[in-house]
Amino acid sequence: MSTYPPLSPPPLTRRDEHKVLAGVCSGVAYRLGVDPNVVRVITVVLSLFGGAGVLLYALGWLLLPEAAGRPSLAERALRGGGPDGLPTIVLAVLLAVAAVAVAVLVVGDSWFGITVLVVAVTIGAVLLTRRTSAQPVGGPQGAPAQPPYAQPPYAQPPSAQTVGAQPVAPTATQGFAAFSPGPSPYDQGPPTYAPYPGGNAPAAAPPFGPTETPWQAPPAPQQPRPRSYLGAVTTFAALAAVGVLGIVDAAGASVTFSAYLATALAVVGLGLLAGTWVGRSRALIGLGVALLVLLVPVTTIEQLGIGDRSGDAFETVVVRPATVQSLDGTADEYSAGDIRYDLTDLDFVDRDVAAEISVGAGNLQVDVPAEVTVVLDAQVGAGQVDAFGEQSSGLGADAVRTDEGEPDGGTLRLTVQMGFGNVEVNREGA
Amino acid sequence: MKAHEMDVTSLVFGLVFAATALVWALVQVGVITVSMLPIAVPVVLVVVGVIGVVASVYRGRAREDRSEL
Repeated sequence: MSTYPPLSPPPLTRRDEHKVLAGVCSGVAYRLGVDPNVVRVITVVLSLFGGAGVLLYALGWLLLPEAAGRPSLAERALRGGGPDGLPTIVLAVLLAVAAVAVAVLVVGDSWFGITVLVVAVTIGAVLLTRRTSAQPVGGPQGAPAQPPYAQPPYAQPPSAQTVGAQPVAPTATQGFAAFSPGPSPYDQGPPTYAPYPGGNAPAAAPPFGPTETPWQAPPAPQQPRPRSYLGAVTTFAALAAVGVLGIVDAAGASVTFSAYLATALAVVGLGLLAGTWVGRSRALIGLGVALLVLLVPVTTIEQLGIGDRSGDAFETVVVRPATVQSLDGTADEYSAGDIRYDLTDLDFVDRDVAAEISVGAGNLQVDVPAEVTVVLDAQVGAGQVDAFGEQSSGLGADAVRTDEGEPDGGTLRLTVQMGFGNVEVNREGA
Repeated sequence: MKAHEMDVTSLVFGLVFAATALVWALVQVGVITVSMLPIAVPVVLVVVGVIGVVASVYRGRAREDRSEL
């Protein structure tokens, strides 16, 4: 026994044994032959640094087969949810949206990253579409066209064949068992295995004979459906349209990122509208939802005017007011960026100065001189406040506090509003 | 590609995606402004929803008629 180790590693699937969430880490560990906790730690570390772990886990949950021979969540969702119906589709869409959102965060505002992301999503959608559309081509000889079900859990048909003792029976059953179980008891049942009562396969006969239970188990083999190329045509048309825009962009015209997304979305929408009456294109819905989820925030950012300056989404600003008078009463607004206020050279003695700084997203650092008393009112939607060494973070990380300077050092009333990001207020020399 | 019975799911999602792209284009051209989106988006949903309802009822009736024959 031990002299014949398994030649090939087990297939990469999600695994029910030792699973914590969806069995992705357990499955990967089983495949690699390591402890599942090793894979989990690596995933968590990858999640903390850049979010790649979350992305990979979501993709694994979506795309890995549930067990040997059972289709992945994404594949079942594209085929209408299988036996579990709507919950499968909802879960798959949520995971896909999460994966796309995390991927956008991971690649950030790098054009290369965004291009790679769009291409990857497109290729993935096409592959899944092709796999799914190839799936239902059952017809009279369904067995070769159904590889996912030909493996262990559903591999019972051969024994049915021996029981039936006529090669034609299984193929006929295959195509129609799902929706017409009626004929089998008459056509196949008693007459066929009655002549071999004791000899051939007495144990196997009852389960697979008249009831055909193993045939009902697989979720997908339904009516044979004609292969439709509408989904592939639309996807490639969308890709071509995006490519044309890219050429226009390269030729010098200004094409925004949202224009790429909207163009692809329009083509996908038209493909689905065509699929209302001809062909089959429901798999495009996933692609459309992904594009929609990207289009809305990207357009919002563009409309807010972020990134107008030299195509840089972030502005880096250092503000050094020349006098206290020029600072008093200011209400500066920034959409996004790395903003630093250097007030260390200002003389606040015997003065009461108010200033307001609003930043949509990014980092704000305010350096104040040693002697001034600061009355801080910082409101952060999500992020972190570090004021005079005291930190608070999370959603609604507000900091309302007064930090005393020297008795006659003057007062700075600083109001800060930050959407997403970090606020840091430092005292000179502290 | 074979013609088939109207697929309401494809119809509704196709309309949502096409209408979103259209609204995007109108915003870019300046026909509608961002401040009008809180009205434009619900209008799109209402129109698409009503079309979906009508299409479903129409298809359902057509099926019933056929089964009665």
